[in-house]
Amino acid sequence: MEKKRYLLGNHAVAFGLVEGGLVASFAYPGTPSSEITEKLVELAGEGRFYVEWSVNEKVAFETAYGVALSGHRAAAIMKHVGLNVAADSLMTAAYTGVVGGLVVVVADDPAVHSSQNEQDSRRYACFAKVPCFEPSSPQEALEMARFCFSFSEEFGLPVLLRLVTRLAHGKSDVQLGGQVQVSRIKAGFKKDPLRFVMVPANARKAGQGLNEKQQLLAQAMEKVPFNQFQKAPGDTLIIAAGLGWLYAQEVLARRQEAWPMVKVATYPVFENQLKEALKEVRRVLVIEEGEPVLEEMVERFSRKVNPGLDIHGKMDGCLPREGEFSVELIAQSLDRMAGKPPRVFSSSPSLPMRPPVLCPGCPHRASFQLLKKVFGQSAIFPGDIGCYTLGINMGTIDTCLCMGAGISTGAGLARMESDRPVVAIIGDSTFFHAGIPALINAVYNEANLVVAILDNRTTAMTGHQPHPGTGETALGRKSREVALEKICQAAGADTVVLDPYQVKESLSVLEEIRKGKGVRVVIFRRGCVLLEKKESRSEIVVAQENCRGCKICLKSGCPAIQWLEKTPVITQFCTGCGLCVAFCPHQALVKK
Amino acid sequence: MRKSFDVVICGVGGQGIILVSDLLGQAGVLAGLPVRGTETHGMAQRGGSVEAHVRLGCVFGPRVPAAQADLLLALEPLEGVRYAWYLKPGATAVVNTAAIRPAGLKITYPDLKYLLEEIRKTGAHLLADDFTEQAKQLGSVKVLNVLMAGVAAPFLPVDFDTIMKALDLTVPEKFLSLNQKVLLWGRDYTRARPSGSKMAGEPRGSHG
Ligand SMILES: Cc1ncc(C[n+]2csc(CCOP(=O)(O)OP(=O)(O)O)c2C)c(N)n1
Ligand code: SF4
Repeated sequence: MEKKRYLLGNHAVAFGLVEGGLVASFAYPGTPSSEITEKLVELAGEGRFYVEWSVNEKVAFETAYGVALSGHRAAAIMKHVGLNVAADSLMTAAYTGVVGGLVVVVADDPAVHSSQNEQDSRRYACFAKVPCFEPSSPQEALEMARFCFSFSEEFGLPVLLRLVTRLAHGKSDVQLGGQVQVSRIKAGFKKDPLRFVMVPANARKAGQGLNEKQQLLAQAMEKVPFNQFQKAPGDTLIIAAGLGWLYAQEVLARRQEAWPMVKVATYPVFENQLKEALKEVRRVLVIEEGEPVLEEMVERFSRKVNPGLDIHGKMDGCLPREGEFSVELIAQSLDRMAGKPPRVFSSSPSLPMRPPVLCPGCPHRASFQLLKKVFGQSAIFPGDIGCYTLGINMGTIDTCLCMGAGISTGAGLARMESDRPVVAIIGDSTFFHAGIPALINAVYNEANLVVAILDNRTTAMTGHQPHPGTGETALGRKSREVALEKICQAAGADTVVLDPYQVKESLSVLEEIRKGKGVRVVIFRRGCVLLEKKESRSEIVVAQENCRGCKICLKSGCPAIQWLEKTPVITQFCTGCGLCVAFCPHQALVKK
Repeated sequence: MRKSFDVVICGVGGQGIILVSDLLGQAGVLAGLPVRGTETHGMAQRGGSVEAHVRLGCVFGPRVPAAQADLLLALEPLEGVRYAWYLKPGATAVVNTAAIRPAGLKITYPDLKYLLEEIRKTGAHLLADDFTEQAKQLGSVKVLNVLMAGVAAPFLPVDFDTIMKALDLTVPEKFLSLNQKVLLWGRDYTRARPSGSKMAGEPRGSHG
């Protein structure tokens, strides 16, 4: 047997998908899901299977669906909010069903480490009426990913694999299975319009079929290997999902106590066994990260089998409704249930915060400085999602809703705020993802706004994945590069391309643009500094005698400039981009 | 239940925290221990505050509980204080004293003396020095992370050769020899201390 490896949860999922007989995988990057695809790229080797960074999650899901309709095993991988983008497709894919196994890996982000909300994908599984699996450890994640394909084929339904950040970015020693499963489905798309063409007459039947499958699914879940009962004496049952299971195990081990426990790892839940367990106790504590999905079910079941049951969890405040769990929180919830004051843990003294910032030398900082200078204090900057959202610190990101929303929000604002400049900010990857329809709409409906596309030639925030504008595919092949400017011009927008480090030239072009009307696109093109070659960097020095202490150089928030008493100091982090040199009004910063 | 040896590694995004966490975790697995851990990926990696946990000999969840860490490895002193609440009394805190000031016009960075005192207050033994300077002298500030892993190595329940072996698996070949050098340097730094790997009293080179 192979030696154990120390694996990231996401890498374990990648191995699991491969062992499950993956044929093709499609994803759009998003924390905390990106490393799954990165690992798959590594494992794909000489064409063992196909891996793709798709342009967005809807496209990723639908392409994976196509593979599954041809009888092959496919995965669609995304972060939780990505499932919003793919939801339209998922809802009806549950109606048509699939032929080859289709696994949708969705990574939720309790505590909002790197997202814009905390939504719980298990709700989507219930909503779409598709099965959902939730692992509690990287080892289990591997085993579930492997198992999901055959389960998906057995029921002809897409299957959700729900991860959370601490699982996706958690690590553990993991035992690989080694063998790759082979699907028994006969490959090749077979025409079946009654099933695959969702016109109303077919959809009505399909909806009925989907409802009928629910009972079978619930029965099947009574037998899948991942749910677990731990018998022990006691009148309080702990029902735990995901990492909550391990946190609870740790608390009880430390207290040297054993309580009856149930691990719920699959949805729909194994109703019969769960109901039996509920009959035998006086109290339950439901531990689940995200929404009180299980807790609501327990409440519903108990009405039939144990109406007096005392239910604790998120809804009675025994556990926090938001955020993620920890050993401490579970310990506190046990204390609360026992009527004891929960033990409080000391935290750190009040300290200066250290929020993330744009890297030193980040071209976005240059673009923001230019826009601020030209469009002034009254300008509104509807923003979008990416590294450039960190422009919030510079006052150049005024909104951030979801990917692609910046341009459309800007069009709405511009319609009402006619006396203020509106400059929508969007990244290159985000533009391909969801910005294009918004731009077309703005031009076609004669909005009056500037659209700044910050083209750093990569999807930086999530770890520098390629996109159509980079002309490279996930597997490293050269492909046709899609030119942003051509798309914008084809949409009918006046378009210019600027290098944000050519400060003088950019300022004069922007000045002209400011005076214009209609939708005006400015593409700021300059590669992300983390991908630039490091040899050609110049050194920045402080000419002390020229410095008047105005601190204008600090306003850009560049982490490589620090203030020591009366003058700035350039630290080891400087990349020599020269932005501060261009903006210092007294020539106190000089490029050597 | 035998308690696991819990390590919290912290610092500023970009300092290579993930690599240290991977190194220690790999070493644990090579030594045949069950290991759990968690890392910060994503947004905070852009110069934000980051933490990673490695639990050697652990079969539970990925997160180190409050006041349970046996070792804190702080690559930056302010971050060391931010995560000091993980330390259990009697644990070891290896702290780099080279400050990285958060960007921003209005931020005042606390005094180093105060910061080290805050860490001492947890009841941990403090081993503090300007390891950034050391890394620079030995070749590059980039290897600060592995150098500090070396300093921490004598405290871990895994022998040094195994950590060396794990380094092979974690660092690209091109940089291996420099990393091996600073890992060794770190170990010898701790070993050369009067009390060896058993911590007591004032750490040498402390600025506090
Ligand atoms: C629907 C959805 N999918 C994925 C993400 C995760 N995500 C946040 S920003 C981003 C990409 C940003 O790339 P780009 O627009 O090029 O900006 P950069 O980070 O390079 O500045 C992604 C994929 C998300 N927030 N929402
Ligand atoms: S990763 Fe690139 S785009 Fe993101 S902040 Fe750093 S330099 Fe800017």
